[in-house]
Amino acid sequence: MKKRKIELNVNGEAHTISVPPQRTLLEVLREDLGLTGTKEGCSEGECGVCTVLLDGLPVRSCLLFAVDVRGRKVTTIEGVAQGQRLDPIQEAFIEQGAIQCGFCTPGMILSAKALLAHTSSPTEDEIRVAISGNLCRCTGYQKIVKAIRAASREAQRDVGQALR
Amino acid sequence: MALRTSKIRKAEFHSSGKEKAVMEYFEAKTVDEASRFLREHPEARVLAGGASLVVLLKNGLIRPSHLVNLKTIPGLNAIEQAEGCLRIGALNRHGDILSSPAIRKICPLLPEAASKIASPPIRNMGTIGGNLCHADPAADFPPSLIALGAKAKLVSDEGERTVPVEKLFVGYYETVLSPTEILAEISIPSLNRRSSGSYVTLDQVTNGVSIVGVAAVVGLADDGSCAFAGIGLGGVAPTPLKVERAKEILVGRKIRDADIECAAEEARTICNPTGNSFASAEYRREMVRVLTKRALRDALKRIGEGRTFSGE
Amino acid sequence: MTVEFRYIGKSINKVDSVQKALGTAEYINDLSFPKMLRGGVLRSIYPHARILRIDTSRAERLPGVKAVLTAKDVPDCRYGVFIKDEVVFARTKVRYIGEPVAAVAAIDRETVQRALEAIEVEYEELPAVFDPLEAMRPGAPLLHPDLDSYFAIFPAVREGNVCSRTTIVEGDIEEGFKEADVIVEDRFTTQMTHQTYMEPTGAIAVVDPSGKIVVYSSTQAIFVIQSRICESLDIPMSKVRVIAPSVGGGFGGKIETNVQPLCAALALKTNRPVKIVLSREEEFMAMHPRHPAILWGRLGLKKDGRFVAKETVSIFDTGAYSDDGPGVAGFGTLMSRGPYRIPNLKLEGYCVYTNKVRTGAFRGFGNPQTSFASESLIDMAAKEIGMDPLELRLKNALVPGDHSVGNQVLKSVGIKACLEKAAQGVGWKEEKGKCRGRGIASVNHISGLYTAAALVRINEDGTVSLHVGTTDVGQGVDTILVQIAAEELGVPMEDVNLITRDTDAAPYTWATSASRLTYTGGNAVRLAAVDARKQLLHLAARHFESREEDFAVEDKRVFLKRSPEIGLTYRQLADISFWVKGGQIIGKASYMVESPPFDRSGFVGFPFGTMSAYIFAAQAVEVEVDKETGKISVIRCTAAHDVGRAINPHNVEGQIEGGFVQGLGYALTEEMAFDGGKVINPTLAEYKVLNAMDVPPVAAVIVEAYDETGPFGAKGVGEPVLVGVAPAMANAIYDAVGVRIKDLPITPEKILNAIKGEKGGSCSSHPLSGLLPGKS
Repeated sequence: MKKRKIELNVNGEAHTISVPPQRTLLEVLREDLGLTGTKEGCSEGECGVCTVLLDGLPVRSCLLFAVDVRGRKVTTIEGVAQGQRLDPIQEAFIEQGAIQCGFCTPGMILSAKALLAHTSSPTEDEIRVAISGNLCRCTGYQKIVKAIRAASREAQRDVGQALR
Repeated sequence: MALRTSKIRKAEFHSSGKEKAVMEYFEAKTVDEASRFLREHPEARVLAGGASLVVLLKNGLIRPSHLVNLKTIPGLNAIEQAEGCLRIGALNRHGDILSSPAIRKICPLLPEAASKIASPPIRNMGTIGGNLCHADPAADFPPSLIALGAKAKLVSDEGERTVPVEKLFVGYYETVLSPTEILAEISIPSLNRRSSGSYVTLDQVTNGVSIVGVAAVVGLADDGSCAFAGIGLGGVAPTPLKVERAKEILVGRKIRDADIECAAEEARTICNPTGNSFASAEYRREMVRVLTKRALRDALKRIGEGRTFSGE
Repeated sequence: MTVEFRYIGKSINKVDSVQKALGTAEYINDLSFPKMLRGGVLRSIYPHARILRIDTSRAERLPGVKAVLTAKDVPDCRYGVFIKDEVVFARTKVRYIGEPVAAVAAIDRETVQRALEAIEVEYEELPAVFDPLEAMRPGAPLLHPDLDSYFAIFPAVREGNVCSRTTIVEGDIEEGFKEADVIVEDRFTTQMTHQTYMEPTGAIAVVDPSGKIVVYSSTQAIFVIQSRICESLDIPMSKVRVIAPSVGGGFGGKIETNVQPLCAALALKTNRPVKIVLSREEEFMAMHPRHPAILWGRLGLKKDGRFVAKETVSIFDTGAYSDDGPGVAGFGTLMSRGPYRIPNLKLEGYCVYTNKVRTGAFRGFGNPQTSFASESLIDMAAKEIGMDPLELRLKNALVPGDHSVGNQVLKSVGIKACLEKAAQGVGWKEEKGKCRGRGIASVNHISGLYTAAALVRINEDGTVSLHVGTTDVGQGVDTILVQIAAEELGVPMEDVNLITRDTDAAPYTWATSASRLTYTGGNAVRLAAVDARKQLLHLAARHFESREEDFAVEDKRVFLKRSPEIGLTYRQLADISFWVKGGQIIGKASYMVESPPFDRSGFVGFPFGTMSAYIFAAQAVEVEVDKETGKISVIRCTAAHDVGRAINPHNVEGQIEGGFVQGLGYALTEEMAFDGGKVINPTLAEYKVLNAMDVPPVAAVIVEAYDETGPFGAKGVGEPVLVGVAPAMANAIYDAVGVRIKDLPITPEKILNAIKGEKGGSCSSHPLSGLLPGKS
């Protein structure tokens, strides 16, 4: 079993690590890089708590081999806040009561982030499609949808202000 | 009363997940290279999006010696129109197909099928080639491709061949691909301007594994009679199915309700579903009939509304 | 009297939400310790078999394997909730597929895997039984031949495979039915479902330098875990500490032990930390899913709709071990009258062993099962007498001053308001579209049970340390307890340091269960805060040589009412307490639910000593049925819940919305399917949890029927949120297309078959006819 030396860009930071081919991106993030915000829930790509962004698109880190994503840009929940400043999506989740046990939250926030980067004013349907791959057992999704809508309005407001 | 038999049994399941096979990893640069590597390493498997493969690997169901990454081969995710065909490279991801302006214009049935696959993260990873080669009988692309009359190009270091999509599948999770062949491209023949299609599924939860999926494609001649008809079924047999008699039942006449009923009945007759605790075989069979009618009616309705496949 | 509160009744941001939004909250699998080993469990592959031989020698010899344990390495004793029947490792026989037979600790997961594969077990298969009615037959394979010798914490009525039978009688059931003009009766079945919290269960056991075992675990009941570890491994409680990190959901499935004693035993053996986190497959196979049940009910009423008699028989399949089973069966039986006045009752519940995974606590605790039957039966009765099902419920619904089963006087009763609001929310009186229907169900449940304690310490700088042994699993109890303490003490919430989830650092509370933390935990915290404030006043009085009544408290300052400029801040008082007078101010309260009085004279084999506050709800849905496929679309849903007072409305809404969706899953898509004793769909791909595209918005309505026994009038909400959804769906479907599905989950196929009149009628007879003597 040969380890491969690969370079990963995670949250804007370059990391060089040596991994066997079968090591998943999830394992690398959590165990090699100590970024435990991305979670393991089912190991079969069904639950969504392992969701990260790959070049801005949500993917299942439990189903990706680390060697397969070298050179690509990975964003985890740790890369969402800007230093001490929470991202508007994080603020909205907190304000709207969209966080209960919190285990689905990192994946949800990343799916929301990808959606809002692509569609600034999503409809409720578009929001539900975007988070359809993130299971939540606590909230019934309602406040999460509300939070994402609130975040999109907040972002619109920021853009409006910036333009003035 | 105790049974007399006594067995020594090894452990069947454990905590902490299963042990993944220890493998090597190879990045192919050309299809030829990939094919040759497969020839030299009979225990190797190809890796496209990984959406299906990695699950099999983690469950210990496959233990490949090598993974051959196909994503490193340039050109396998092209989308182009040539020689009266829409040609889609096998490594296009479901998300690429969903968002491709060309495909949305020329063949919106495919984005419709793609939108029903799993979830956005899986659609950002899984490929149309992988979807076909994994050969899950309930996969979402085969019914539409079969209804469209699509063909698959299989390439190896020894040559290439073209196979109609419905002939790709042999059984559960089994295709006709030889160990050194790679599915490189799907080609969809152009249909006339009055063509449309519809993909209808019955799911337990939205975008979960389909219980039944039916795709229908209809093309009308200028006089309103049917010039083309294709029906593909998913989830109702060990493989996706083509309703072979669709042409006979529908083409060359103005389609009436009775013809639709007849086609639906034919679909029901040819399918061979397996039941589970959620839906029995009889129910699936009946749903094939209901969904075939709906898919056909929907396709015709779309033609009527001008929501057609645009050839140019 | 309207009092303006600073924190009570406000949707304050949860105290742990920032760390969860950042992804820095630590769950069990995020924790790591130096020299930590990984653990794994070898599980039975037979549902019922004698263990003839276990050979662990090959496994022990593998490099990197540090311990291999079996039953011989732990004390020969049984633990359990109501009946002590369960074991850490199967000793002489296995009783379900998935039962732990051995455990391994090794340097990494791959080595654990290889070690498990190297253990040889020789089994002799025994006849197994998978259906509870079969298990009740004379001559059925006996799972626990020594059942009578097991210690039980209540006088359990047990025989054969029935580990507990509860009977509740009120009035005269025969007379009651004679009085009835109309009698409806039918049989219903409900399925096994899994809590499917997003975070798999796990534990890490560490032996600290003093020799104490510290067990970190994803759990919702730190003291229960502590108790069971001590009981099963024969270790004193002074030597075991349990800590819960952030927990990713529980819903009842993380109350009782599973891996924790195994981890502790491995850590003791190896003297190194050991971590076991379950795979999702193990979660399905070997945890504590919901009791499937067979429910039969007979309701007698007058022509004008007045209920006069109810008889129920509920059979709960508890799997291989009893776990919470007697409680589930007893409580479900208690709830099977419903929130109605019915003078003549005979309610019976059975808790039965079968060779399947042992079932346990899951949101609702027997009530979802019996309510499915009860609330369906009411709609059937409504049809018989030609009355609107809502009207029939309102006519019989409890009002303040009425009695529970067991004659507890109920003062806080909001059921009528809940029914009206829920019905309104789905447009009860509006015109209906084609193939559309509306259904409603009432819910009664209890909120409380047992005890909670709290300590409020005033720190040297006047901030507050609040110690309470509750375990927040996402529902937000941490936040509301801080709200309560802050309100009583008049301090900002940031001033409150919440110490919780640690059996060493916090005083005892029973589990996160029974919708009880707001009520019992809230009461304890409030009383402790009141005590602390009193001590502050007392200290000020001492200091100024005056009387307590002369002082007022505002903005962290205690001052003389007649001369407000004379006073001391909390900080100053704390200073005095630390250095001059009195010692640190420690407010304390140990709260136990002892009242209201509960008359058990009609009860036999009921496993609880007392009940608690009653909570009420109504859930209503509007559905559309596709008559060709049987598929259901949920158009509208409303849930109205009487919570006494909502301490944090966002939290309450979150429970209502989330619970409703779990209820929809219970009603429509979730089922653990079995082939004999084997779970055949132990993955999230095959066990269908609803996603965001499946569920409509839920209109959550909070009804506040102030309960004077609760903190600021509050009662709980955690469980009823799920209970009425399935019967409301069944009733709505009947309203839409005239078919009644009596068997959960309500699949499209069942609806289609019923519409077509195929597959004959389902069984409606008394489930025990012909089974037990005297039953016909």
